[in-house]
Amino acid sequence: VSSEEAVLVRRCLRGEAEAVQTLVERFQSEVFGLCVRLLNHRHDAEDVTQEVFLRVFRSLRRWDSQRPLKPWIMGIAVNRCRTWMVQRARRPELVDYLHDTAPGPAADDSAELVSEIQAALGELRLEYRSVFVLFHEHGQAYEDIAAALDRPVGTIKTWLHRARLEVLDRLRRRGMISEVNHELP
Amino acid sequence: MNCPECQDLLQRRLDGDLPPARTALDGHLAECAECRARHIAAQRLADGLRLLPRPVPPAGLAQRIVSRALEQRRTDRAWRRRTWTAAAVAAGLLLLVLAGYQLNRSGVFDDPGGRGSASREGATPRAKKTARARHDHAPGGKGGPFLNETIQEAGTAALALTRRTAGETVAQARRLLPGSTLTLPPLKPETPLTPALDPSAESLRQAGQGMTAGLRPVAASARRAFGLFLREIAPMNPEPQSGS
Repeated sequence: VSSEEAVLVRRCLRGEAEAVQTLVERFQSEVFGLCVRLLNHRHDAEDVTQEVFLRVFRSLRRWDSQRPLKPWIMGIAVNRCRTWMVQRARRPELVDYLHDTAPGPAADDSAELVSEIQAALGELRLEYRSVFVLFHEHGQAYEDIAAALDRPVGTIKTWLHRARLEVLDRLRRRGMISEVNHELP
Repeated sequence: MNCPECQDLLQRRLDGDLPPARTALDGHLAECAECRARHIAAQRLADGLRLLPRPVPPAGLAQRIVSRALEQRRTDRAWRRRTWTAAAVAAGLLLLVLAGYQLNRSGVFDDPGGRGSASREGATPRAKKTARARHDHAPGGKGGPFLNETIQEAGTAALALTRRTAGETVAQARRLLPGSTLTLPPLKPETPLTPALDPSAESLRQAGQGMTAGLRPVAASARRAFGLFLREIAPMNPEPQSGS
């Protein structure tokens, strides 16, 4: 763990506005991106991102300075998204007109591919989706995801493997594969 | 290579690990349509993940979060301060109530010398208390002896402390101003303190007795502490003025 993070946290605990601003700016893209993926709703993601940071600052004294800050914050984000989804399930479904994750027009089927992947992610159960997004989009290691979600590394691997297989099956069902190439990068 | 091994390899590839045995994999994929389809899908998935646009936070989100976080901090601190104050007041009140209850049970309020009708054998504690209260309240009675004695005692102690402090101050002043003729007006050594409590109601007198009994040890401790404090203070030694 970098001592710089510990210093930043201590300054935040003292109530220094500049440190609070630094911490928010450092992690807001990650938190917002995760929330958008998990909630599939940009406006909700904005609200939950605010909640996540308020929760982070309120719980900052409980952060273990021996561990990196990012997985801890991402774990809070996943928990807040889970809570939000439970609450949202009790409310009427809202249409997200602001959803902007669809890519621009493309000559090939990449737009359709991205759209299918997003749809496939939306069908995953939350635990699988969280692990998938944290690993593939946020580049988190298994150990960090395990710390964030408070689960054993083995469980995280199992969830990620199952999530991939479900996404792959959907891509196959939706005809997103061709027989021309099976080389993986 | 069989299908489970092929699946394991697929997961490792998506993990970013490079497969060691390329030939065996190619051989299996050439034979197994199911595994081949999955591997092709995995490649498409890897391509698609690179194309996924990263959601960009709206402008001003960070500032809104910072404002709310600082506001929340102020609110939390104010709330914590109020909570601690309320808890301290509640704890103090509870201690007073417990002390009063304990003293009442231990019979401190009862007449220790067996004055008046309270000393009669067979009288209940409540009757004793009432009788003694009547005795104290009656004209010619001692009139709230406990509290008055304590006040008298405290007054004497305060007088002694005042005299000592004033004497030291005058001594310091004489050292500072050698030419002056400061004198301390004589204090009446035995100025009697008039009884401060004229009990007008039995309940008030009883409450006063309870308070006295509770505060007597505190007052004694405070006197001792103040005495120690005065002893610990270094005497003020003014620098001698050169040229004077």
